[in-house]
Amino acid sequence: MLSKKVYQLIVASSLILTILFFYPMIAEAHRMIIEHVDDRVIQVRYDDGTPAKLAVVTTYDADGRQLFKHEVNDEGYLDYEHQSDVHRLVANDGLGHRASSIQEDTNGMEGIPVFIRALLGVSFLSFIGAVFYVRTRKKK
Amino acid sequence: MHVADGVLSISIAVATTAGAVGVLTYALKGTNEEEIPKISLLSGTFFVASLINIPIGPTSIHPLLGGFLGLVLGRRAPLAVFVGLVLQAILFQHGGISTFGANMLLMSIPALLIHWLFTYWKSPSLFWKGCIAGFTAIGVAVCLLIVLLLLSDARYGSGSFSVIQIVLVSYFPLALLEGVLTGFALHHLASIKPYLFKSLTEKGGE
Repeated sequence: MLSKKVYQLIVASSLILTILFFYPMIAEAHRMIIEHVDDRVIQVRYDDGTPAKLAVVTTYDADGRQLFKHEVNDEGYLDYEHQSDVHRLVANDGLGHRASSIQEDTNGMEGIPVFIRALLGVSFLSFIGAVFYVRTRKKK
Repeated sequence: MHVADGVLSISIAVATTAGAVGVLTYALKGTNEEEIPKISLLSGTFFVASLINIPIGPTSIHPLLGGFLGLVLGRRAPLAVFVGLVLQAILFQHGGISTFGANMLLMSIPALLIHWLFTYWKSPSLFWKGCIAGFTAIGVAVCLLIVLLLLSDARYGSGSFSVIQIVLVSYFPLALLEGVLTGFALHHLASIKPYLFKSLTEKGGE
């Protein structure tokens, strides 16, 4: 168990960090974002909504091999519908802005039915509860 | 109410993560083995309730059970929230990694406030405590969400159909429903296990 001093230190540090980061300095630079607007359609834009017209998007597969490189259109959109195996997209506008995004994997956990995943979570928690319930009963 | 990755600014994400560590430390202190079965079961309840998920703009709405967690678990409510959020992130990819702290605070702080409120205010019956707790917890969570969104980007509050207005309109009926359900749930639970609510009533249970 944590000593009183360590506990106080953790709580105080958390409070200080919370207060410090709630008042950020205003930065002049803005960041670039890759937004997945549709299946295999992205928009590369800056965080104020302006399309990144000069951005070039490079795509990579799951092993890190480069698949293709293409410029976005005037609205910042890129359609890569005819490309399969795209795992990661990296956009660079040549002006010091870079953004990276990972194509959502639909064959992972989402392949398991929702009911089964919910049951898995509830079963895990029930198991933990049962173990500690038996332990406390034995102690009594 | 899960806030997705990228919605909050980096500074807000860091601040809320630090705050969540503090809240979790506060909840963990003094936890003993006898409390873990109760925490586990309510984590499961929170986990299942949060599966009812309707996305709205950058956020989503779902039952919070903040009032129920605050009244039953008290100071340990953030532990249940933490475990529930971790399971949701792993099994359902709900919520974001950078916004885990924000999601944790959004759901823990209302529960803790309800716990503190009814530690001192014992006069209402358990049913009314439940109703007030359920409604108030949602209200507090929505207010916190609005603050975080506005601090991250003022555009969330601009326009007739701003995200913030949508959140307010969407959560009001849920707040009413959750208030009623929490009231009935608490009343029924107290009839079966009155010792769970000793700290909330003048005498030991209703």
